[in-house]
Amino acid sequence: MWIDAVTVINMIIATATGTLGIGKAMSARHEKELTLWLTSSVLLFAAAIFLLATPVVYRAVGAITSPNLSGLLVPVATLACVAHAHWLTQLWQPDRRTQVALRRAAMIWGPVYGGAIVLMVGLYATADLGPAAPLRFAAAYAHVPQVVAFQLVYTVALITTVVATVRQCRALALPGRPDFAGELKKSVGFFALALGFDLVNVAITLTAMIGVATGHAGLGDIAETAWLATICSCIAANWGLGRMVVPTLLEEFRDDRVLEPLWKTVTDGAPGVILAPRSWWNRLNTRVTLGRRITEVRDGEKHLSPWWSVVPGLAVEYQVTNQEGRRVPGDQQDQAWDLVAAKDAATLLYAAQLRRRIGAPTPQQGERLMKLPGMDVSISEERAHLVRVARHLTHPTVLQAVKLAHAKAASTMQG
Amino acid sequence: MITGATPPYRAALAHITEATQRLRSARDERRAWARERQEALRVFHDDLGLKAGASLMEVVEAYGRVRGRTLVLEEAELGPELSGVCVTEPDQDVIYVTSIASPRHKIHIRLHEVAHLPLPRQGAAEIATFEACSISGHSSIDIETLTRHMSILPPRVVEELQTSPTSVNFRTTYAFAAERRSEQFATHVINLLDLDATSRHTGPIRSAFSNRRSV
Repeated sequence: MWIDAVTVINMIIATATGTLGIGKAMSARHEKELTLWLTSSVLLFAAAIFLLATPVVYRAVGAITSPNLSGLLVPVATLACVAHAHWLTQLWQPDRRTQVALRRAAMIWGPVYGGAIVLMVGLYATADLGPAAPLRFAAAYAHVPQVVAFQLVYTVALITTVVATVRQCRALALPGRPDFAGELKKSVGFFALALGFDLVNVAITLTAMIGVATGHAGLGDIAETAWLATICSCIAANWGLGRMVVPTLLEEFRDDRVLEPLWKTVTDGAPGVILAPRSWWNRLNTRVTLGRRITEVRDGEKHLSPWWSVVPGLAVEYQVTNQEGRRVPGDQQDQAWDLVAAKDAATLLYAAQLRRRIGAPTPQQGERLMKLPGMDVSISEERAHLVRVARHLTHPTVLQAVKLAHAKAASTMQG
Repeated sequence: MITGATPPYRAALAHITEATQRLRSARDERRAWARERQEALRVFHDDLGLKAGASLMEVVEAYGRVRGRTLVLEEAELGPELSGVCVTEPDQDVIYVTSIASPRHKIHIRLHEVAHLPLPRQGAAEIATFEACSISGHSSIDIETLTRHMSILPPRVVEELQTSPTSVNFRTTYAFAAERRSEQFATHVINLLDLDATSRHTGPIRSAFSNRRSV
């Protein structure tokens, strides 16, 4: 029953992990980003571990080669996974990403990983082993000195490298948008937790092996439960590495939809700024679609520049500051309010309406706006700013400001 | 009885045909974008020898190095329809970008303009065509607008245009294939760059967790 359950769980986890790994590899193919390749690789290694540890596969591999070959391959692959994680944490921190720092880390940790794997392979090759013992290799052969040494080498190497990697995870500094940095920290936390569960696995395995070696055969049964820690480890790693992928896609899709009215407003009279019409299929490539949307909005804004006027922005400010006693935008009830975005929205809406009126004069010299209030927004804030502008297009204060601007223009013409 | 109405099966057939055509056109569009993206990535990685996380200045320097010419970036007050200009003078290349643009948009425009510059791999024939074509990117603008665009160029460039093989590309519309190609380059390559200090710091970790270097 337990073996059947492990078989099903292992297969599910191997499939999920492999799928996520392939997804990351497909992204890495375009980006050619080392960290993305390493992430993909660590997931594929993890999928292989779960596949090899599944009793039926363990026995099948053993039938072809040596009966307990998977007992060697699984710890070696686990060390390879930790090495990937170690390398990743090195690349995530700018001061450890330099060539000198990377070379120094390779000089220190390369022999630890390499030496442990070579020793383990040597000990396995010289051990006198019997039939396959999936999920309890160390406990089943606790009487074989090479297997005891094998497990000790593995345990020491794993503890040393996992502790070093988790410490690097904890030392990561993540600047940038607080919400995004917070999500990244959570993901790094799950990643570190996954590494921590590997230590639980070796602790249980070691206890079982020592128990059997010292004559407490009953302790041998807990060896199989060590695999539960590995399952938890893989779930935590998958969740850590995959939890931001789908929300990122959904946010891009959502922001693209939010930006559409702004895009229509500014490109209405400037079809030349549109690179290509979007098919529903191309919209699935959310990053490129959103990038095009932002670029075309900015190009469209510039096309409207002859009609930019200071009046709508001033009308927004007037409403904010001179409506005492009434609910005004910017108070606590209006959390989404942003003055700069509102001024941009009013300016663009007014300019687009002027352009649509054939023959409408452009603002007079003194009223011409040379630069939109939100034009100098930082690169990392650009997308969020434009989304705020798009959301303000229908804000009552903005609509009222545009009306006031038209009224002022009409009175000026009559005067 | 003959009613003249379209039989239901014909309407169904028409819907199927229309849906098939839409699918086919979406597929073709997808393939065209994939080809353009592959080409942009090939230029970035192979021709320029750059990696994800490069800065705009590294792209500019790589173009200068591969072409063996100086590449100068300038800012200018361009007209409302014009956001960037690429001028290849006999001894150097100059890229003008509008001063009315956000920092991110300026990077996009510069990437677009820089992509106009032919690289040695593209072969002598293409380079010769590029250099023989003195002005490009203006197919849909009238002569008055073109004259206005020309007025933003330094007088020496206008003079060189009339007297020597100087090439100018205006970023106005994508009516020309060269403009579309350059715009695709900018669209895809901007996602690979570290655009500011924040993305330089967090690019690799963002990439690992969210498959995106920058947001």
